[in-house]
Amino acid sequence: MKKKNNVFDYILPFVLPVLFLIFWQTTALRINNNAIIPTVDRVLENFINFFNDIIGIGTIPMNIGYSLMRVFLGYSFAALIALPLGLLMGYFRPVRALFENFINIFKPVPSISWQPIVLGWFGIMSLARITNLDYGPIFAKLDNFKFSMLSIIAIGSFFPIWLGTLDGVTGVRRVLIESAEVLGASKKNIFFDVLIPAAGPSIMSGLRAGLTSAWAALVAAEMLPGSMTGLGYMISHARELSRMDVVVTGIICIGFIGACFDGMFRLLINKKFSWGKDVR
Amino acid sequence: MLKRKLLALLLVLTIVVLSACGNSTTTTETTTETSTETTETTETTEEVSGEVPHLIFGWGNELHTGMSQLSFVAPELFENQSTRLIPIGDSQMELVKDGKRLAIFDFIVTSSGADAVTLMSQDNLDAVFCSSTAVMSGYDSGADIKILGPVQSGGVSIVAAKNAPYNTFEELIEYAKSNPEPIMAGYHSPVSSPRIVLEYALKEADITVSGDAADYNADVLMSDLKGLSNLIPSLSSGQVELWAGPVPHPQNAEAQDIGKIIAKLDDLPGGKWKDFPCCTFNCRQDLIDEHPEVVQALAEVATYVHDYAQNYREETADLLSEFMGLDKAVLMENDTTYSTSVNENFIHGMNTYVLAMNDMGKFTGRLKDKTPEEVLDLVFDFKFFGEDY
Repeated sequence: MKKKNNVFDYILPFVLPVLFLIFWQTTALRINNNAIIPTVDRVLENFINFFNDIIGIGTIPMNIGYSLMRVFLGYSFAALIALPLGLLMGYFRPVRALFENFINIFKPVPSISWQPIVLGWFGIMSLARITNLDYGPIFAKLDNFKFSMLSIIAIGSFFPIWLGTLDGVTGVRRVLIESAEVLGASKKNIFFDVLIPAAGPSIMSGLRAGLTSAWAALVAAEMLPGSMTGLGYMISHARELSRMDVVVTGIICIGFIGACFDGMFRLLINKKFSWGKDVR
Repeated sequence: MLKRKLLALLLVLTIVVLSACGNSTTTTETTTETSTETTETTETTEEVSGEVPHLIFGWGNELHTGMSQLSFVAPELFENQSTRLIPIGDSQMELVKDGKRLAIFDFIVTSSGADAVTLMSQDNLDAVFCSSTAVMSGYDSGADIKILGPVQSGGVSIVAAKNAPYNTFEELIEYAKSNPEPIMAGYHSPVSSPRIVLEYALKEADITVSGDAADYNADVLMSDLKGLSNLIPSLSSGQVELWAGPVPHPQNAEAQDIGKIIAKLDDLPGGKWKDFPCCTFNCRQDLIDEHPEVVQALAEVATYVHDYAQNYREETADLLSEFMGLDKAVLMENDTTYSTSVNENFIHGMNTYVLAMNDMGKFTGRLKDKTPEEVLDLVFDFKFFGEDY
């Protein structure tokens, strides 16, 4: 029998956010210093003027767009390497023996630590400069995607994706593979039709965690000297101007978008891989 | 079911309220403990010289604002002064006047004027030597801070990458107008005087300057390099090919064969930037209100320290080379004039900054559209340097 929706089902999710807003506004009014904590209305004003230039670095949607694109590029690059590597390491013991300890040395290193190194390696190399475009609007836009930034994001997202994939493959029940072998399946069939689908829930979890890490690494990437766009740059630049209202605006944007990404993955996992919970 | 939901709601509210009350209680208890400790400390201090404020003082590690470091590295230089900053730890010093302790300071190195003003706005810094334009911007944004007087003038140079196809400011202008791509320029602090001077000088030469990366039609695109320490790396990595910075960074860029000085302030067109003031002694309004004697004593210290720096250049370079991490030879290239005199040159310079910053739309709050005279009344307080403008 379908559960009847109660009014509390609709009210409860809003209780904490409303209490938080009240607490925030009360505290901000009491402290009365925008450099320490801005008021809710001041931050709201930035969202009301969403399509206006903010602190001289373009509009908020423009900066969100650049950030999203950087995350997409860095994350995709990380997934391109982490997924096949995790699959191969999970399936072939010699490959695992070759790579596992080496990768584990770098796993605990936060992506922000790589800033000086990637800056030295890549300098100002960007998508625009590598394609040798003539200067123009396209060049100006593509020049915002510097390899140093993209590599920070890629490093940040690589490890969760790799680990989720590796765990997924190594966690596939032996009986599934043996059953397929008994029924005459080839190694290729076993790999693509048994192993990958069985490892699917864990791979998806890894991809989900990887996207969260990519989004977190983005802020560190966009704080690199010379960066001129993005939510991370907006936050660091606003701090220098004592515009904490813009800092908070940037944080809210990052949090909201990150939550949306996570929600998308949750929906996908629930729809396509919900059986994974039952198997465990 | 309804009862369960009501119970859940009540539980959530209780947790939130208890957390808030719990924190307050904890804070009160902690404050009580701290008060007890403070009372004990105060009793000890009182044995020495009465109630003494514990404050935070800052300056940069460059030749515009770093002169007070002399009190740290060579306090014996000023032992005959009646008012002195005496080091009592690695990053702590006491302010003493006529043998009486007036204050204890924790000292911090600030990375830029914007950094300093943000810290002051957040009550994390009480007094600082930093860029005057940064303080004006901070006041404009709502910070209750004051400029008390100058400490130096000049000492700003415009630096281009070593292989840039221009060697003077005039050649830069010609190149910027004819080049199809914008010139990438940088600044160490969004509200510092070198940035204001560079941007205004470019705009006066009909160069379009923008901070928006999407503005591909601009002649010059300016990006935030986030601190003085990134000036040299930004040139060597090719991220920017132009910046204006305080001594010794331009000289260091030349010494490292990474950049070349294409203009000093005196070389800029029009002559209005000759020996132009940049950095000042600044503090929070509540420090002036609550401890004017401390501010007065600091002003006295600032005066003789900067007099020493002006008259003993070689000795100053020698003493500060380790603090600044540079060879004495580079520091000897210092073309700054040190003075705490509130003179016509200083007032003229501040007025020019006000006009320039309003013209460029940098003031959006309390100083928006204000005249230089009005800004002088609001932001400046010269009485501690004995001047009355």
